[in-house]
Amino acid sequence: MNPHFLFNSLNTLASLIYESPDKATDFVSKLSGVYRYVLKSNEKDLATIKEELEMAKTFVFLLKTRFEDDLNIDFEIKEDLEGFIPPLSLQLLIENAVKHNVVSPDSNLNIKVFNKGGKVHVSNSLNKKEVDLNNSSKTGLNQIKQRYEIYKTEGFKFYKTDSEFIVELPIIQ
Amino acid sequence: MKVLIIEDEKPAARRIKSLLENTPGVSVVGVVESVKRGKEWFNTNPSPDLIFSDIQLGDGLSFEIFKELGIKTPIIFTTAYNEYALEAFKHNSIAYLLKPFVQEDINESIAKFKEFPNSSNINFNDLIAKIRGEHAKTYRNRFLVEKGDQMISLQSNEVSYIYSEDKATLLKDLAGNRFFVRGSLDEIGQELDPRAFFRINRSMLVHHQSIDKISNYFGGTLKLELIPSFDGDVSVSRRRVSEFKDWLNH
Repeated sequence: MNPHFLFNSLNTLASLIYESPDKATDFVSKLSGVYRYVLKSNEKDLATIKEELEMAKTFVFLLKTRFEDDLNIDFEIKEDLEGFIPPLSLQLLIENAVKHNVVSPDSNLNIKVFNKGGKVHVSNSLNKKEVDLNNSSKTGLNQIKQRYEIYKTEGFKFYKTDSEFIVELPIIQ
Repeated sequence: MKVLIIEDEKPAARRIKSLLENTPGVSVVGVVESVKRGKEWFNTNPSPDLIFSDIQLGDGLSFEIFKELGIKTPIIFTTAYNEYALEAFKHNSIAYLLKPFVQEDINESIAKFKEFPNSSNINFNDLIAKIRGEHAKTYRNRFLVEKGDQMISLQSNEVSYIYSEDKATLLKDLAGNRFFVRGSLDEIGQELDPRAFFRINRSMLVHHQSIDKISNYFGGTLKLELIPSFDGDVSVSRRRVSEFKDWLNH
């Protein structure tokens, strides 16, 4: 995970402490949850969809605290869906979407996570930042791809339409 | 003192606003959260006395606002983490604050600003390049050229200009010697430090040290006299004139 994320989160936290100690406590607890998951996931090759969804939702909570209504994320997927996907793949795809696209009051970023045809789909509205300081997001996508190659699972793909960027993650059983 | 805040993160924007409002003599005249809204704000409001600005906003870099509108108001940049930006700020003595900050940090920076109220004259193109990490790029230092049956390694800062003539690429050094060099002007131009060399027209790259006189010429072009002198007219093509002036004004 980007070191930027930690520093930004600490800054958000500093503001929350004044606004609402309850919110601040909640934020810290979720932030440590995210980092615990990151550390744990280094030890394993696959994660259950349930674990990944839980992690992604926690991560989204942290992002929503910063961007509030400028960022919308819908999870249209059952928590208890059976199967596995590469660990941190949902978090990575959400992080990429936020990194490369405009998130502002005039142009909200909408992300959707849903289940379709035996795959977890992550789609986001496209509105690329003009000056993008971040390197290409291909490194992350390639890592996910390699993980699927190890498990000899086909069907991982990512593509653009006119208005969206979509990634399809096959569910490994 | 009228202060504008540029910050895209909502809780952070509220926090810095309340810190500034608690600072005697300071009034917050606006909080802007994106590049787009920043441009709109400056187009519809009188200039503030001081700006506190985040670097990365949800729709781009705050530098884009200042660069495009030619904002001369002093700016204190705020950042949570950006090593390239910090390096660039330190290098160019640009004021910045590390987030999260406390009331004392604000007071100190306001006091400093009162003591040295010089308006900022920041080269945003340079800054953007630096924080994109382009500073890591190394430029071509030397040219291996032949003179008679000898070979000479010429340093880039000994070069006056490089030009193309009859499909060949030639280089003239400070002493007025002329050499053939390998590669096209396009290729060589990419390798050289853009602060030192400028492509003035289709057939010439010029080092700033070789420019002796500049005068207005017909059709909005500029005529140059170079040292050592060039055989023939040297002009800056019209569409490169404004960039050329910026380059000489670094």
